Amino acid sequence: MKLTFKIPTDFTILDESKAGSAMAEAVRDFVRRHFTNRGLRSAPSRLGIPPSGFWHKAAGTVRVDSQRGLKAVISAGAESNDPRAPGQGVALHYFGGTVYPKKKALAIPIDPSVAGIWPSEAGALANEGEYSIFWPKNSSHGFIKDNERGELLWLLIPKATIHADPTVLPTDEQLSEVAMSAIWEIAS
Amino acid sequence: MTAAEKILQKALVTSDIGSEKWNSIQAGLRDRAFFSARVAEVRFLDAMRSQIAESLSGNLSQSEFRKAVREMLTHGGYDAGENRGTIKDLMTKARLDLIFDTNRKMAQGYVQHLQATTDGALAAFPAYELLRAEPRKMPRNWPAIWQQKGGTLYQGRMIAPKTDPIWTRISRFGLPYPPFDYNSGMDIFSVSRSECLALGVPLPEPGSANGASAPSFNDNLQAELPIADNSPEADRLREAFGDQIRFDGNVAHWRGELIQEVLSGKVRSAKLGRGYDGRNLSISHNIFKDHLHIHVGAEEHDRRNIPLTKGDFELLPAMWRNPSNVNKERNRDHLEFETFDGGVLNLIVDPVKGIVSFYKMKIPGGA
Repeated sequence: MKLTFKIPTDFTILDESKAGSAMAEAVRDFVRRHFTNRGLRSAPSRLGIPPSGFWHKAAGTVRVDSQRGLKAVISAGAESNDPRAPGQGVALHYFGGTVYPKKKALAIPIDPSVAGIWPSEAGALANEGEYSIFWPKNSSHGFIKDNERGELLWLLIPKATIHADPTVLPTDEQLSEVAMSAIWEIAS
Repeated sequence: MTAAEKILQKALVTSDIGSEKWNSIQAGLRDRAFFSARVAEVRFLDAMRSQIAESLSGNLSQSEFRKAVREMLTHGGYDAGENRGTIKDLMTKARLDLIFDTNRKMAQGYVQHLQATTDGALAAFPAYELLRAEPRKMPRNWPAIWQQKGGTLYQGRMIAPKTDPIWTRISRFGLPYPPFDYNSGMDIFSVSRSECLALGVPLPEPGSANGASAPSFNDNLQAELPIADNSPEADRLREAFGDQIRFDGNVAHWRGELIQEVLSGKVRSAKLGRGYDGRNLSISHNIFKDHLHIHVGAEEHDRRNIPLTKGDFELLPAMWRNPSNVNKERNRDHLEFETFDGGVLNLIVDPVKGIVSFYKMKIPGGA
């Protein structure tokens, strides 16, 4: 995900390096605020699952690199192939896509007691003792159940489709505006 | 280099942070990892070091981290004793999440702070504002803490220059960037020069604080240990760290400026601790003055070499512990170590005389 800015020629008298880093700072801070506000708007799901803090984690990974010629490249997140890492997750939400499981199914917590916990961590994949896994006939999804409480803990699905959401990032116009405002800050 | 180091290197290479600072940051990262690892042996936290590094590089989820650490703690015979089930119990989700989150946020906070304090960033955005970034059920009263520590409110907002000591004063960890406390949910955001002027925030002269606000990654690095400073465990830490560690009661402090103090002559010599082959090594001001200074800055006249910087010397202990490559040359050890700025540090160690030479060469195709 790249965004390039160029400065009008009127400003070429400025120190390019300084202008570039001022602009990078403006964009970095704006994108971090954007992610943070998104995180603050997150509410518990209908099932009572609390927000994961994903957007706050993503805000911590924002990096804006200014380059020669007063260009800036934005990146967010760790460099990983794992869609659970904030960087990959940001791109997934922005562009949309389908997540497939590494093994048999994706596990979605549906009970607040297992929010943020994977079945493997809880030892719930053995299908014995405390937990049982079951797939209703002719159903594409299954469940992991807490045998003692009789509660369904995780929903098991074969894939998850995320629709593209362009509001994940600020608009190009917003980013250009904050970048220009940084130039004005050091020019004035 | 570790996965986390590679990511940090990539971030630094393409950032506005001057290359002369890269190797200091690499040294900080290495020292922190090593410090955490050795301390961990005493506190059963060793299991977490590689797991945290993995998770920072995006290869491990928080859930996988907890599972892996619990397995290692169990294998190591960990017993929480009377703390079982409490926040002090390393097996609990709450404790492991606290360790994971604090480490992740500290590393991210440092990199964000470096980006926010480049020359251009300070010129256009000279101040930070402390804001709530994550909701908490029982939030601390940060405006009260802010004022108690000497901060000023501007129209009710917690704003101060990025170089103001208030940022260190409000931090439980003594660092000028988040996290400022465990589970605080607070974060800092930049405030523009024009907004500062409108609010009446006093600003330092432009350029007066350049570089001064970027502390060492290991500033105030310390660990409270459940051991006495005269215990065998403390001796093991001293063997590992040499003079880089100092005990104050049962608190172990990291002496991040030790190497610089030796170079400047403030400290005559320092033990670097146990090296890759179990031997100890020291660096003295005399060795620097008599042999090593010829490779520093403008004094380096060998065209094959890159002039040494302050950050290169800070890497000496990490290089001694874990070199990239070792060759034997006429009974001397020739150690090599790859640096963030695309160089290879070369350290020649004589079994009797100790450090004989230290210089830096280019990696073909390096950064």
